[in-house]
Amino acid sequence: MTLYFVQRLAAVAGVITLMSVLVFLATHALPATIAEVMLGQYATPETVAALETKLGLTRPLLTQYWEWASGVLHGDLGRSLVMEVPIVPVLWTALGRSAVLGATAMTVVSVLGIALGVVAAVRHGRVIDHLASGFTIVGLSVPEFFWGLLLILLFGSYLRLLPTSGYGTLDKGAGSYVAHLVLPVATLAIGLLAHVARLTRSSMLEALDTAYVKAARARGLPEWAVVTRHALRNALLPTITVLAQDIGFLIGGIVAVETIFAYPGIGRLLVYALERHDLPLMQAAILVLTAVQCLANLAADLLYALFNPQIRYGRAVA
Amino acid sequence: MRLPPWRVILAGYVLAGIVVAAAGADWLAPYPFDELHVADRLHSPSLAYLAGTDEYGRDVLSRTLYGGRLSLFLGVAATGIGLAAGVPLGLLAGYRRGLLDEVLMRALDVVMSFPALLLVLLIIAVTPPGLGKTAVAVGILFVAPIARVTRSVTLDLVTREFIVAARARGERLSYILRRELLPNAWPAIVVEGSLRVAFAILLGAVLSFLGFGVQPPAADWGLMINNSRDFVETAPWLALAPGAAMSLTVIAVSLLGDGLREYLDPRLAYRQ
Repeated sequence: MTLYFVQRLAAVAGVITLMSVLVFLATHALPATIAEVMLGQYATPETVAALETKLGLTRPLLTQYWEWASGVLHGDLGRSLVMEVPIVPVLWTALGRSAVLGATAMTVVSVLGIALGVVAAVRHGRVIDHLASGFTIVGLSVPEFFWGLLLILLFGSYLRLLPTSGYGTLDKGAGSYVAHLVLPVATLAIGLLAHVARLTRSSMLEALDTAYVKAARARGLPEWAVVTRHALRNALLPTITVLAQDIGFLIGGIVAVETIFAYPGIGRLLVYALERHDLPLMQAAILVLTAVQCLANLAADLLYALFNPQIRYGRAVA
Repeated sequence: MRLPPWRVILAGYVLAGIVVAAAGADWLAPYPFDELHVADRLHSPSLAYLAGTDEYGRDVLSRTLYGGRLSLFLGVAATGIGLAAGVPLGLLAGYRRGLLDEVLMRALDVVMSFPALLLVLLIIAVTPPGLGKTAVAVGILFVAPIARVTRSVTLDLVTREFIVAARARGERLSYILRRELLPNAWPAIVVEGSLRVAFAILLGAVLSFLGFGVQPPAADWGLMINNSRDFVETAPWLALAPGAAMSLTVIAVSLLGDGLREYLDPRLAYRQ
């Protein structure tokens, strides 16, 4: 278990390092230089040279990377070119807001998705199963931003029940804070809900068909006990992995959802940086989001190991 | 030969209809996609404009049909790039094993542990946007999962008699990969490919929606939906046609992919 943990931790460190190199190189190795991109149509050889000197882009690549990376390791992500402030506090605030959004969505997804999957599996072939299957196909096929728009249309324009954009700060009251979260969370959750429900359903179907479930039924245990204590406990193992994978989708989804609902989180910050060619801010946002995903993958692997006796007792170290 | 389930057949027809509609946009669209009808700005759906008009008085239906070309092109082109690189890599890794396989799989692990959208945004961020480049960026992203699927099918195949026989006959590597392995790995690759097309269309739509894909005055479905945001209260029809077209396409492609998987893989069919 310890060896496994160390291996996984090393892999995570490797991926983050590699992404930092990629993020760094992407801004240097491309045909147009950063200075040209930033200056746009005002790029002349003189202005480009001046800006490159100002940004320190004329020094060797390795020196630049080293300076940037050691800054990152010391918790210094540089200064935003557009906002002209240090990036860390800005990014930290945005990340916190996104974390609230993401964590709420994940909670909704875990609870409802697993419940929906279990019900669909138990009622296999009945109306509710078909309804759930239909929902999963539609939920997976319609992108978040279109769901978001439909929800805005329904709850914002027609019913006028909920705010459709912005962020409710806590000092304006908990009601406003929660109300501003409802639509973004719902939008984020729909697609993932479908994904989790679908997977839980298929692993539940498999579990319900096993010998130990038949044995439990044969012993005359009540059906709810068979379903929850025997089948579900085993069916949940793959679901854990999928939930972690979904954090990857969630990160993609957060970028779109925060844009639609004008929610000032890290996704919107990234779009802001991309639109304005604010490279340090863009690098920082991408790096932080990658790190979040890597840590989520790590957490999933560890949870999986914790729940899977084969790995727990060191028989299969992957 | 058993028939595919009706869902799959229906999905096939729907998809064929969408492809024909987008390909025949020159004949089917009632107006050119960029023709302005200034007198009829933000006109609600009517007989003259079946899906309404946008803020410049452009016909939404025509724009949806033309936009379909861009979205479908992106899906097919990106998947094509992914297949062109991923299938040979997967075949070779699965057949040769050893160091090549090890290095390749670790590299793919790394690529796949990045958030997909971020990687594409990173590629797109620092160069001017364009449909071709988006296709290449998404295509590169697809190499890893396609190679992985191909490899795992190949691993199953290499121990079979016909491969052993080909090897005993002293066939060249390229012959074994192309003539023996590829035709047998094809079903799994087709399924993976079809799901990738759906994913690419979605990803392309998100990119356009964020403003990093197709650039105006051209518009794919994602950009049309993005433009509709400012008029969500006054002209909700702006989003409906492109949104419905996109959802229908992706639903059809995924149903087709899932159906083909069940149809081509007898082991799954028994489990149903």
